[in-house]
Amino acid sequence: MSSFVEQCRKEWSRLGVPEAEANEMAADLEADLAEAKMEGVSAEEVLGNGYFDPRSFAASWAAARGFVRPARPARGTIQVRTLALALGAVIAAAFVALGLAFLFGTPVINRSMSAAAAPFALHRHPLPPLFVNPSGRHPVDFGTMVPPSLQPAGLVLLLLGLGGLGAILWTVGTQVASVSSTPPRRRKGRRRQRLQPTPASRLCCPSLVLPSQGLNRPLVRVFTSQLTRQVLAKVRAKQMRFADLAETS
Amino acid sequence: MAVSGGRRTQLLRGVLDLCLLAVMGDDPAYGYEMTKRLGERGLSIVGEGSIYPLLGRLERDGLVDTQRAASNGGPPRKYYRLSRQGRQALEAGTREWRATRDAVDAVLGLEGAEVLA
Repeated sequence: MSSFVEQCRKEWSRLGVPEAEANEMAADLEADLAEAKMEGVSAEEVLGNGYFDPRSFAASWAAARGFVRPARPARGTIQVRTLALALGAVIAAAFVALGLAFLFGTPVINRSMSAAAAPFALHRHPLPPLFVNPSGRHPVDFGTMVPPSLQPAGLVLLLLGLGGLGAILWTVGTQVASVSSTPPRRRKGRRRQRLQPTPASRLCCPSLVLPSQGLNRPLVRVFTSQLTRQVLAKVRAKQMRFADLAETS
Repeated sequence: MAVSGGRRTQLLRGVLDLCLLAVMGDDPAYGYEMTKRLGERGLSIVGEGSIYPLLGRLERDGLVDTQRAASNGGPPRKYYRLSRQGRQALEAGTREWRATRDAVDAVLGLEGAEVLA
């Protein structure tokens, strides 16, 4: 057996391809390559690009024949990943908020202070006690809460947070794209119900019953509508007969 | 042109299944035999994808019937033959290809060139 076929066999074994099928594919491949070699044709000409990547070649062949299904992560894995993404998003958002506070906290607080420092008479409503000291005369100096030395740290936090949010959005986007591009699987045990012929339908109209496909639906519709018309006509005829009898009596 | 190799690959990828159905439409054939038939008609797959996964897909989709039979003095081979569904797919695909080819020729201005030639 050639080394190429041997590598393919290993890959099929790893992927769980049934042995009989793997043997069949290996035998076909081996015979084709041997014949090509006898005719002086290179393996590349027979296998195309697959010659340079036996594992991918073997995997794509097995997948095309339906022996390998693309693996899906388990439900538990999906939940853990979702939780990790949510936690990461919260942390990144906190980083952004802290970074913004460190960077722009001082000017914002200065505006509050200037507003708080204005005469109270100018305000329609008295300032809340948060902005004044217990004596009620001097505004609290919030500027000392965000020293200028924290601004570089704020910038770093902001960048980290924005980067984290971007990475999380990108991850979510790729996952959504991969899910939307994957064709939905049909659930096991939930097959579409097919209209099956009943004994009565077999008796009344055997020509409508196809050998393996159940009932021919368009024909059934025509048949049932005709049947309904006939029944209605008979009912009307009987009603008229009863009416005639009533009149004569 | 830098993209010419990639374009050939893309074009072949779109029609190689059709070509396989066409070459096995004459007579049942095994894998390597089909490669030879493609080559005889001027279509070499050197540097392109392999036909084997494609044959697997055609088989799975019911477009070909398979049968193991002895080859000329060699080991038994898996012969591929067009199924009825495959023949319909070949006809539909040929129509699609011709329509696409004509439209592209018209866009590229090749219809006049053919008439002149």
